[in-house]
Amino acid sequence: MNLFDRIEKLLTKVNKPASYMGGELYEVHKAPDETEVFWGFCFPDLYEIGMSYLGLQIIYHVLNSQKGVYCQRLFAPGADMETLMREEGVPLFTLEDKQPAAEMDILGFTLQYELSFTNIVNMLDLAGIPFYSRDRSEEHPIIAGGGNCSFNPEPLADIFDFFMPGDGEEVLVQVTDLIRRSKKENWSRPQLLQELARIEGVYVPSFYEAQYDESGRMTGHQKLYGAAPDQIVKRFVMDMDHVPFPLHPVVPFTDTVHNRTVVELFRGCTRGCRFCQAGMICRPVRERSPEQVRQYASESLQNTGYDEMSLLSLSTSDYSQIEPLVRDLMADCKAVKAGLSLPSLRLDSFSEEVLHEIQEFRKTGLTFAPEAGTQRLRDIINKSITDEHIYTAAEKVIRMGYTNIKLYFMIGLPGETDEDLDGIAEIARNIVSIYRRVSERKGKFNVTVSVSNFVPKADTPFQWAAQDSPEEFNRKHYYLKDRLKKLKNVSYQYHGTETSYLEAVFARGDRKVCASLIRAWELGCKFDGWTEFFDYSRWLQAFEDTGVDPDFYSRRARGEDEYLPWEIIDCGVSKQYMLKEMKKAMQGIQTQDCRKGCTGCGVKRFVECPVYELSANYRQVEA
Amino acid sequence: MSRYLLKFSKQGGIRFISHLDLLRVFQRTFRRSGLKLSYSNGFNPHAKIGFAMPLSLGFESRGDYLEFETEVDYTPQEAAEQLNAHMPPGLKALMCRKLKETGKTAAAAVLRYAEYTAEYRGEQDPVRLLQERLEAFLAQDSILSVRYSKKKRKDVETDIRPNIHSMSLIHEKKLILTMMLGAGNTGSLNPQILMKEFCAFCGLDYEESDWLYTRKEMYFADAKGHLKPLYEFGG
Repeated sequence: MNLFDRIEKLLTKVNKPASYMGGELYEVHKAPDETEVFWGFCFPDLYEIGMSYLGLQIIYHVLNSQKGVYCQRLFAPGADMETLMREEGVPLFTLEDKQPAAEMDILGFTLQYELSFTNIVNMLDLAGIPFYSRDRSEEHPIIAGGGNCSFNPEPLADIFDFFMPGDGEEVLVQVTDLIRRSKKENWSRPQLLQELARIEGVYVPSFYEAQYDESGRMTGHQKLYGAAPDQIVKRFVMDMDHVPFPLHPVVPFTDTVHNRTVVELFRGCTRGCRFCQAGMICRPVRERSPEQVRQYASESLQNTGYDEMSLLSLSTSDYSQIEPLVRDLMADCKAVKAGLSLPSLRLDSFSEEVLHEIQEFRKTGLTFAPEAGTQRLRDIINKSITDEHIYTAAEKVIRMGYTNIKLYFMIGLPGETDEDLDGIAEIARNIVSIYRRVSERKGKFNVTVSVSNFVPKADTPFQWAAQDSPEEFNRKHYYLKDRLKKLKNVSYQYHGTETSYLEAVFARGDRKVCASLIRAWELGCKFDGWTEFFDYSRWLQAFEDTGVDPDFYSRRARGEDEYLPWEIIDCGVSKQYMLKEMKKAMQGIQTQDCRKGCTGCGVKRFVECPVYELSANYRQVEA
Repeated sequence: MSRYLLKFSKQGGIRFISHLDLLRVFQRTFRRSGLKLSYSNGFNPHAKIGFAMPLSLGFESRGDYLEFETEVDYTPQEAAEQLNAHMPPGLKALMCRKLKETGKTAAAAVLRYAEYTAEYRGEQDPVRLLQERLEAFLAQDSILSVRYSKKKRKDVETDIRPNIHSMSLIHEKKLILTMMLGAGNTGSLNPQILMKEFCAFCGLDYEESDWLYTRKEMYFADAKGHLKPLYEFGG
């Protein structure tokens, strides 16, 4: 029986069979005899998560637009499917042609989240591909990675052949061209890697040896291949109106996390929150023109048939022309009976006008992210919103009739004290008071306080900071819970502390944690981001078995002079700038939004930052 | 406002999408096609489309029915062509006809029978046994089937015999059983349940993934009591 029939048999026995069958609208098919490079785009989580990820659709589009290149999709199978695949000896396969993963020329993993790393190992195992790059040869696919976690790729350095930090649109094409050539000319694996290393923004970890001192701290990357670059600068694409964008994205048959069409509004963020990795590594801000956003929105709504569209960016309301754009989009959407959803609104720059536009369609809850409970701590983290912003915004939306307000906070931030936790409760209490004072309606009103645990990330000013211990996080959660339970109309949600601890180990890990990762997988760890699968005790066992002290990575403050494992990648923002920011944080000094004037982050070493005006509402808030 | 009855097929990989997902797929197809569906009034307007009968996950169909209402009047050919131009792989509009605007009897309400085939795809050779036992199986006055009821939280026994109108076996290249089974408000029977019972009766293990089910057609009874394909239903 061929692989297709064997898989079809399994589909009658699993939950959500549609996750494995492919065949969706706008899925791409190419004939094998016209294909020169077989690309497997791997998403190390379930189909329903991956298919809501715009990056997948962009890369799928970029690669399949190339002649002779056939990019197919691969996802981590659900537990029930995996069991059957292992029982029946069915290897990891592509959705499009049900081709075994091992037959691809290249497998590219998107690295979004540290807690999906065990899924990468599991997918390689299901594919029958050796984990360590040193155990692979020309007969195996080359394994590549990109995405946020490729800015500190060291924990995966022994597994992956190369990484592509930064914008992928151009480098993916260059890499693919090289693979095409290498196949035609029968290059050896080392030869291909050497050529890859010459492409700007490509990091081949096996060309460097990690150096450590006697205390186990990393001291540098020793080059093993002379022509490899000293440091790899992330890739930038600058003109958003001319980067390829999928107007015919694959439309899943089944429910996914978001069932809507998405247009990317801009990349980057100028705010400079000191905990935020995306805000640092995605610089500079590059906006798509409002004309193009509108055109893409209409076209992709028409092409997909979705009844909802959304804009994607790190901070939607910071878009320079947000008010006129939302007004136009709202009208366009209304004309075709579609809804518009605007995620990532900021407390201080969202405008009433924008909200009025959305609420005509649907009055759902609103989410704001003050991040910290007091002004003092917000100054430390450079979250430039004030108590006044919070309460003004809350009053505005309450008057408009919103009855659900969700507030995001982080605990365990550098410099935090219990007073900052009291501050969180205070904000919730005050918002409820505002409701009692201004709302004419009596009835249901809810403030949800959602608290996550601070995870120090590479390439942020807080990359030197120690993380709280899981015990300390738990104490803080109970402390907050205790204060919040006394408040009416306030509910409390928080994240598991153990997963945040693990996330911190890998976010700032070096090459030594790779052994723990593989050991954890051997012990049965996978889907660590899913509560029902996460098993902390197995992870502790894995660290013990491999002689790795997780506290060394999560709870240890780094010295200013210490070499950091991710320094091999230049994320655009300089180390000196981060250090300066870290020191300013400790003094509670804010740094301005660089839309108002350059703060010297270092991105200008590589590119010219486009200049945008402040949106009308932003200007108003400032004044 | 115009009402239509659409006959469609669902074949290939798309057989693995559920009833609810299929509804969404059709809603999107309508949006892409530009055909203007009527919407209900109210806070959350929904498009006026509905299936004659849900199709089980994993089944193919060459005779499923969808009823819909449009704001604009189209010829049935126009509607079918527009839909076909925008259907995802595996779905196809086979026929379309207008229903009476008044009266508004739904196709689902008149449905009496559905015809299915079950094609054997396993590796055993059960032909002879099934052939030999079919007559005796159907000669039974009652065929009791036990199934767990979520509602009653216990196993319940039902007699499925009254819902078996006919059943026959063809064996040329493939082994295929054809069944006409009760469907709709007057009582319906899922062919999987029937095949489970039949296999048990023959002393065979029933393995779900060995069988490919296809719905071939749906029927209603006309004024004289004759069974006719649902396509001929006028609304």
